[in-house]
Amino acid sequence: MSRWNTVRLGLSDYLLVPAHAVLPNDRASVERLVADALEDPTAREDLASWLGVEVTELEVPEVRARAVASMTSGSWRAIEVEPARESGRPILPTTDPTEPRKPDVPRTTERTWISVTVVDEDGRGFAGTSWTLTTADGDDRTVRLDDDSTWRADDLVLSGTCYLRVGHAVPEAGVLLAASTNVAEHPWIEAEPRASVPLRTGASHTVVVVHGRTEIVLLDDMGRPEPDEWCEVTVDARMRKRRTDAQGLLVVVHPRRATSIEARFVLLSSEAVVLDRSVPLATDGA
Amino acid sequence: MPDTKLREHIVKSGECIASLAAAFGSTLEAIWGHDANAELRALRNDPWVLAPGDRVAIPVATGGAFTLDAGRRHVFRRQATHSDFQVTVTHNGLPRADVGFTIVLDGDDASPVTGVTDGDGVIRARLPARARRAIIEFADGRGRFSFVLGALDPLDTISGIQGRLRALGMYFADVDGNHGPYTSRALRRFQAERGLPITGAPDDATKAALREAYGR
Repeated sequence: MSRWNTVRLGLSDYLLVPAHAVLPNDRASVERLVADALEDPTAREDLASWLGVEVTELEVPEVRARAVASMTSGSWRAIEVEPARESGRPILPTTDPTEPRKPDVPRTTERTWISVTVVDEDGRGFAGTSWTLTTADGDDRTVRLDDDSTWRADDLVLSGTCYLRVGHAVPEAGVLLAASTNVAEHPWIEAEPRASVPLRTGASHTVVVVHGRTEIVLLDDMGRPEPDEWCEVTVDARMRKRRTDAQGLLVVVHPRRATSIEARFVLLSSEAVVLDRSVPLATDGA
Repeated sequence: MPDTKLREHIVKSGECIASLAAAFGSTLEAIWGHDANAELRALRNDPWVLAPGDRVAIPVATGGAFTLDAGRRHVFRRQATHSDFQVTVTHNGLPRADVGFTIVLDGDDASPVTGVTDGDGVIRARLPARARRAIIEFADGRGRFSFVLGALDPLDTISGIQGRLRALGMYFADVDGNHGPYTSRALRRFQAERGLPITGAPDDATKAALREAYGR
């Protein structure tokens, strides 16, 4: 059952919700919402259903952009109908007219928690450094890691998804890679470098910072970018499949210890693509 | 590692081996030279001249795997995404030299191609192999020509004869495969220019002359 109630006002029923339940529709907030949905298999299905696409199509940047644009434009607004849960579909508000009307339930005074440990790819911590955590209700908190490179908060007001951002005062910080209670289960590569990672409340997370970066560019025989070409990239026996972007570029983020990666353009025959040149990156991600 | 799986493709109007290679992530050589297409090679003798209904065996792309050094930028080139396009532009028999042109293409590869004709009135360009239609417009506003790309039927078909006569500037009706009065008139004009018996019929001598004049 929803926390909010439908109320007959005039000829129509309205869902009355407090302002804080309506998620902001600024680009950063909406992008976080969509990114969060993509992390959850159930939410991915809901998102795909809303957009009228297959779940697999959510990998297409244009599809994600359409979801973001729909909400940032105000055409659609996201309203939190139930407190965030670790998994499962959100419960839609009831519109059953026979159900007795109830007054709004005041926001819970219960607090939730989160624990974050940040390490590099070799397991070394970042003790004493400061990072930023944006909580589910939008507040920014400074995360100062203790001697175990861990930070814990037990006084978060809202359950949901928080975002940890790279600490600007941490020169060795590279790309945040994993958010998991079990690092070994998380893939070691990403095709989209990210400056923040989503973290659910009510859980302990280990975030891994990596610095390795390899770029793959696909051009046509006239030297122009070939976008939207699928490429399988394998690092440390872990494979990810991504498409080249509008510039024909695919960025692979991986542990610095990786000395080689394997790439395969899955829809092109071996004769149809040749390696033209390999050049050092302008910066090594450090 | 060689591709082993094959898929059969039945040619539609406007397709040639180059356009199929671009569409299926392969190369002209890999498709045309495949053993499974030996019969087609013997029949058509030219990868640019296919007839609707021809069957082409296309190697299924399995993707070539590349082992790359980490920490670098690796630039790949896709092969055979463009084909050569050449047209000679004349006016009253004289070349239209040094005239700016724009080639507008259909489909996804819609970026227009611009350039200037050379001293002999020749336009040379590299066009996306998947493009089906091109329209040439001139900077001086004189003339606008539409071309169907990659659609040249074999010489033993009426549509193949019409296509060649059209490219030679002697036939201006639709390439429809029907031998009507416009086709006969164009054949008579071509035969007269070549000093052949003027019959209006596509006899062997006329077809041989057409092959020589058009180039294939």
